[in-house]
Amino acid sequence: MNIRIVTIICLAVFNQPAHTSDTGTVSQKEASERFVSEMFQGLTPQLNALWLSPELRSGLSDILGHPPQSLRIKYHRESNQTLWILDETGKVKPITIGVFIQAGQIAAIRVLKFRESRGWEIKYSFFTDQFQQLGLTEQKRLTAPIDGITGATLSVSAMKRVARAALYLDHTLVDTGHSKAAETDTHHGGK
Amino acid sequence: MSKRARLHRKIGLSVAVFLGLFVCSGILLHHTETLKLDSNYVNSALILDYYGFDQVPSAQSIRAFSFNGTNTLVQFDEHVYLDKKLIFDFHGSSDKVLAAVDLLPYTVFATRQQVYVFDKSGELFDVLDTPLPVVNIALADGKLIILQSDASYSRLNDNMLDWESIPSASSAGRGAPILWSRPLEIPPEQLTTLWNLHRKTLLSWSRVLQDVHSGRIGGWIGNLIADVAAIALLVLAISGLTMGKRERPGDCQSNKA
Repeated sequence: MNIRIVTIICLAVFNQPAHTSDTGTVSQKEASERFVSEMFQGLTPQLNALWLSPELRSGLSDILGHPPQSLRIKYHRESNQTLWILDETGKVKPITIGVFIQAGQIAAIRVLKFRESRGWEIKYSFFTDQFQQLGLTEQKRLTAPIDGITGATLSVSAMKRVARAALYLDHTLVDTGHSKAAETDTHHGGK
Repeated sequence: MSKRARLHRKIGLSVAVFLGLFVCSGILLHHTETLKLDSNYVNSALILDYYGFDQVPSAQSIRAFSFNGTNTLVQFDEHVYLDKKLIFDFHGSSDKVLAAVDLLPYTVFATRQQVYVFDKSGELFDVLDTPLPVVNIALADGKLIILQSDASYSRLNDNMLDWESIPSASSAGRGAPILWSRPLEIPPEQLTTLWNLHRKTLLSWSRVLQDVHSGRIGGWIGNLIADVAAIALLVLAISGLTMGKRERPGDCQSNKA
């Protein structure tokens, strides 16, 4: 009996892939395009850009724990649906995550490129499904807790931050009634 | 004092310093995240030289680009510097800066798959995917053009979001000269200055502490010392236990008397 248990443990330990980062043949660009097409059912809405005002930067900094990486963030929008592709560092390398939001709630979240050596378990649906139908509270928190994964704490945290950031950006668009005209104005107006 | 106790004391004294080092470095490593040891880097020239970060790379091995004869963009390993300011970190990716131009008021560099746009202060403005792999980039009449792997050309639209395919580079410039990006051989003095800046981002404190903890910091001798200290610790534990077992309650009283 004991030998059986030891064998199972050994198999579990040694069966782990030696290199676990997502270095498959699908590039980040291809994965992103596929995600957009899938979420918008074959259509690819025009790419828009949201300039980050000082308030938005401050709000995002609160969520991410660091200032946003760029001065503007690109997104796709179709009626009350928005799609955001954001990078967030787990431990040392950025994880590219796509978030699809419908009516202020997460409809899908997916890892598009995982570059870390650990924590890849976050790409599986048993974990990502927890985010479905979650919104954002007034305190910029997710409306329900997310169960973590042992050994993937930093990647789990990164995905939670991205989910909150995407919901926050989506809320900003709704609150400001951000239209394509407004986006163009903002663009020409500069920072 | 018995022979065993004297041996216990001698072993204890001879490895005390090393044990102290291992314990302290172990405790610090246990709090790597809290103390941000992964993201704090060694500035000491002495330690950096000791680790071998003292060789300035050759100018030919470095990708560098100059704009207007004043601004210089240089890639060292995964880091991209604009005039001594670290503006981008590829975070372990093997991406190389293929070309760079000054698209006023932005600075732009391209890798094989993406174009990175920065404002004048070196803040990342945006990262743009390109339609096809990039071979080179150019400026024509204030517009950004990319030469692609299939020898076709694309121009960045005014919204700086998407690309427009163009038949030739000259068609984008309306007669204006086309300024293709060309790499620059960086002068030795500038290279040394940048290298001294760059090498201070190469060695994290967590790595130094790990090397202290394992003894690797001292090379094979350090490893040997760590092994000896570990064995000594085991011997101390065993000799301590055996001495404790031999000492009986009556012994203490008789010793006191």
